[in-house]
Amino acid sequence: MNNREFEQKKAKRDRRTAAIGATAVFAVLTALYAVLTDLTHVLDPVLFPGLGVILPEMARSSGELLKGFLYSMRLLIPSLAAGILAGVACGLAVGMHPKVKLVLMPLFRALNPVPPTMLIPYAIAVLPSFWLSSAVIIFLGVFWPVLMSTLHGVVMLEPRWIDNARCLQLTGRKLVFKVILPGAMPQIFAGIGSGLIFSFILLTVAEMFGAKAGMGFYVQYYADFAEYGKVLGGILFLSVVVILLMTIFDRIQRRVLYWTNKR
Amino acid sequence: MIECRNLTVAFQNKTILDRINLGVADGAFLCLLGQSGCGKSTLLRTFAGLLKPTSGEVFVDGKAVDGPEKACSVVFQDYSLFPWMTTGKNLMLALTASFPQKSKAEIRNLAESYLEMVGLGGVFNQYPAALSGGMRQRAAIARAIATPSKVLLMDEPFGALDPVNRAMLQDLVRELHRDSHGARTVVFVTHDVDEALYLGTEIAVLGSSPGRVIALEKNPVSRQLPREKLFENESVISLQRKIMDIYRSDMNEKLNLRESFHSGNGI
Repeated sequence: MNNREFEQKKAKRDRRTAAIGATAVFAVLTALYAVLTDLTHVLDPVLFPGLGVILPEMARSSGELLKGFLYSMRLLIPSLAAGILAGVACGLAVGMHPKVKLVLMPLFRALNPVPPTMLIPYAIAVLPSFWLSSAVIIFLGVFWPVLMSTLHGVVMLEPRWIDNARCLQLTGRKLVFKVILPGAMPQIFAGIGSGLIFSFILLTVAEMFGAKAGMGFYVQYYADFAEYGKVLGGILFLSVVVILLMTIFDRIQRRVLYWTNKR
Repeated sequence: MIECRNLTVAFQNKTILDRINLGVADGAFLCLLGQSGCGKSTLLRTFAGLLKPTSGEVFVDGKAVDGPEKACSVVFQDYSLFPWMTTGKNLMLALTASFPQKSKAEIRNLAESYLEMVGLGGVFNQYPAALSGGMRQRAAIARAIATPSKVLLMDEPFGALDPVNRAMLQDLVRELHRDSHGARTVVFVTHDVDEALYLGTEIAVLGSSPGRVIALEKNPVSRQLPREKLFENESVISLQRKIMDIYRSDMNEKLNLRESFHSGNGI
């Protein structure tokens, strides 16, 4: 018990140290940028405007950035959720039936590495709206890693857990939701993690051609007018959003996978 | 209660169990003794329906075993509880599988009372990882006896425990079996002769490579003596000696096999 409390405290302390370290690195980089731009003007002032330009620009267009954020989330969240759900569901269904898996695996292996960005022109041609084609692209970017990791998670399930479940006469939904899904969760979360990062990339890429608003659209739009203060401000804003989303993801993961680090 | 006829298990041409014939009477406590790798766990797995024998048959409660049955509950060495659920939820999962008609509140109460019965009153909301090995095995036993199974199969359940915990859990299992008044048959796998003498009403010794029953003994005092008196009893001492001798000769046989193999190679 005491040992556990000690470990928890240590983990907390480690996290705090990491946060302080990361902030320090960020501060040094910011200071370096300030030195290279505002103070010494070593970098080209048009392509690399100083912080004195970027920050006021961000403040001025905060309404536009917020609107872009909401537009982006309206595209990202449903696509992400659908990708995760479909990936996990297909992964469980196929993973639990070895014969089906044997038949489908070559197909998965062939389709999985196709970069979703390659499908963008085709998706736009086939699908009726910009929103839908972007959503499908993001969906695919999330679906494949989650599907593959779920399949892997089902394979990696400890045989003794399955024995245990069989002895308890667990079948059907109980078996899936009480044993197989939680047992495969560590791998599933690894897949969701890479899917999540992929989804940010795809989101901004998709928004850069044909969107009416969004964080990627904002950056692309002002780049066309060579307003690099706004471009950098938009990128900065986007990275803050990504950091926040990743933090939420980490929190959820720590909570769901509570049991793995103290087994 | 359990009967196996000409039971043979082989993996890739290697015979693990060779034509085992063994019967376990209703209410008996059979200890399966044998050195590691002799196939005693494999035999238990065929009883549990987790493993299909290559040939031969197993009957539990008069029915041929074909997959895990409700009649059996199993306690494994250290993985009977799912690590992602609290101890209480682990019990509740087993209970809902056995009593689908009971309400959630009833199931919860049952789980709590069985945990209390094995001396784990306060751990309902704790994850298995937060418990000690002994507490986890207690919880696993609580789970096994909470279901209305007639047969309790235990696969070296105390193998990973310290001596104090082991003794306490042996007492617990002995008590639980006694209190069931013959309603529960136990098959207990161990490699510890003293443990088998303390717990078993019957003791079967499995020889190795391939696994077969080389001795089946009735415990002369079975359960009448407390732990401290057990090894003062003449008949227990002579049985202990006999089993040890059988054990030793089996081990020697295995070693001799190796020796002849080596000498055959000119070493």
